Amino acid sequence: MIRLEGVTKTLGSQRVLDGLSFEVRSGEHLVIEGPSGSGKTTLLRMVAGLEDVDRGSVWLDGQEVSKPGFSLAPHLRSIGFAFQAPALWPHMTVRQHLDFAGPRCDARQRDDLVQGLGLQPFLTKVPHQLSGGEARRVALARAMISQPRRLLLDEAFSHLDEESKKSMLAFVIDRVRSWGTTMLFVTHDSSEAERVAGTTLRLRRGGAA
Amino acid sequence: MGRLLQQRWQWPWHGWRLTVLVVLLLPWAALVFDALKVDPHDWMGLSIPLGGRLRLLAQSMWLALASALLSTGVGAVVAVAAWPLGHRLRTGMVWALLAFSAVPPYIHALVWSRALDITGWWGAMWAQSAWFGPLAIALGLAGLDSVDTLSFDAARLHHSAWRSFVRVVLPACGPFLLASVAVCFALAMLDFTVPSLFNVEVYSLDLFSELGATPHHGRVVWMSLPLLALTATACWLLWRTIRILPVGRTGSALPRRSIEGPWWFYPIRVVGSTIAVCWLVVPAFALVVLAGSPARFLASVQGGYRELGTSIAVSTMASVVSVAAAYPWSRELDRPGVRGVVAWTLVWIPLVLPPSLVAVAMVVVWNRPAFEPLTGGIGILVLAAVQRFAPVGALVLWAARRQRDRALIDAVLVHQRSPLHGWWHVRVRWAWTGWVAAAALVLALSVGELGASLVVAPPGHGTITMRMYNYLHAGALDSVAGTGLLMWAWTLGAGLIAGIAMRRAGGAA
Repeated sequence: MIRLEGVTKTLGSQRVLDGLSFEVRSGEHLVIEGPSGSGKTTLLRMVAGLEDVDRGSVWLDGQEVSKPGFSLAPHLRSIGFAFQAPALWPHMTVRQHLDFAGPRCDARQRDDLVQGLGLQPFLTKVPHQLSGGEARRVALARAMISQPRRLLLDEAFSHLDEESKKSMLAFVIDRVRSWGTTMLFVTHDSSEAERVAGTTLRLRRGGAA
Repeated sequence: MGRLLQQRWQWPWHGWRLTVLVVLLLPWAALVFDALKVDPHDWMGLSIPLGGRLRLLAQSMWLALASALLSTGVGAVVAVAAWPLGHRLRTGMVWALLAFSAVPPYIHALVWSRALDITGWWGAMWAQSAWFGPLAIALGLAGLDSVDTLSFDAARLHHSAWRSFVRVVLPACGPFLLASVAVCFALAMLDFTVPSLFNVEVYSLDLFSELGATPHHGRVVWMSLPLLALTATACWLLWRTIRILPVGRTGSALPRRSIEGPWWFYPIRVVGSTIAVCWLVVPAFALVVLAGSPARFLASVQGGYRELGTSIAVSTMASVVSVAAAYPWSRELDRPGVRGVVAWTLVWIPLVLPPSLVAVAMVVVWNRPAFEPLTGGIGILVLAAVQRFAPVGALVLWAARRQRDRALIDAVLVHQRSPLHGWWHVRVRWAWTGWVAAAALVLALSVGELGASLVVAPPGHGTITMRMYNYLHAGALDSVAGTGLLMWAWTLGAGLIAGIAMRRAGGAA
């Protein structure tokens, strides 16, 4: 379960989120839409613990993880996060990415991700040897490798061709359902939103529409 | 038509490039020729250090390595402490520190020998580390700044902040730390001014003494080979590193949180930051105190006004000539194949050779009656500075050009009416910041040049650095503190101009 209660966040002089509240129950998916600058990425970063909240609180599975003056470390939140940019580690191979992000992941589970996302041909490559689409797939695999209880996808499919997008989205939704993972899915693409088939939250500047 | 024009405009460039090549290569050719005149039976004996020379080389290496590691270590620790600061503040710090690193080594030696009242190996190591400190901190900061904050965030989702920092951030900025060790090591191996002021014998000082003692310069060339091999290895490491450094900004503008390290890192951070503050604050403070009253300061400056004038004239001319020589040269650094390798070799030769050997090469070629009008007075000092620091200018121009978007250059090629039109209306407007940065850096380095000036300066044309060095040897620190303060302000000012210009060059990209 992910719950936000009256979350407010100001970046510089701009109030990005103003008293935002919502709840997503375990295993449910929330599609987040909104224009650029409406706070979608900031919202995901606060849920992940990468940004502090100015006011309000964030709850995960009944535990208060963020409030003013307190923030549970990101690695203790069981969260997978694929950012807008792949943000891969430049000195690690694809295999090392998976090992570092999921040290306790068993071989069967890793093989399943490698197969499903088509990573096999470039397991030994480093990020600068990958194309944009391949880097995206690695970023997705890294976010999912530890079977997180919560998965945050921030326009993770936006730079993929239509065919890859369809197959990968189908794979991700299938695995997320089978694991019972709660998913926050930011997108501008209405067809992606339909496939995710979750509740939709529309953000305007500062809060929910 | 456009192609014809372009070809016609290439000729002046080719001519200038060739002139630069000949003027800069002649001394090296003469040096090699001198070395070949030595009896071949002596080659091995001279180039392989044994006994006392081996001990001296080991002592030099140990001193250089210790200074390089201490300054780089402190640089890395300060960079970690500065991690959560804002991006603009961090960038500003980098440029201020680079400006600070132009302060010549014997100013640090002067200050620390008085402040700590120590002599010998520890004093020399500390003063050299203080000299490299600002550069090492700047490289550490630049290294951490080059790391994409988002990739650090990605790691924090899986591991603690400290483990993420150690496994993701440190390896990513490793090339900068390696570059810092390599450049500090090479500089320390070549420097004899700081060790000699602390009564420490080093290999480069031995070479300098040998040059004064023997008329057979070729023998000294063979003797310098071990030093050359070590500094060339360091510079090769540096070259491998700087060619792969990331260009432009990554995701570093995202806000960063301070990193809670393990308990043992806290005292290291405190000690490292304290040392860094000392390295930066003590030289300025001590020079002001040593300079004494305004009257004493004025007396110190008046006593050396003639040498000060020579230094200012030499450094100004050297900066202009160096940038003119470095401009066509810097364009060659991007060439693939043999031309690129030749250009890079030409950059490294003056940087890996002891300055006194550079000076001897100059004397061999230019100390002839035919060249008397050009090199009889301060001309030889200008040439020596150009010979030593034009490669630095070429590196700065190369770095400034790398920050420019290749697509914009292609756009100029498509839309310019003629190469001259494109050059004047677009390329010059882009390039001037790089030129200013290179000129200012060469100016700062030239005014502090000592190793070559000591050998080539004609009678009556001493520089302010020579005066200071002689006074320092005589123990008259207070007499040169005023001039030291003036030089410090001069080099800092030139370094700051270089920093601001380079920042603008980056911002315009």
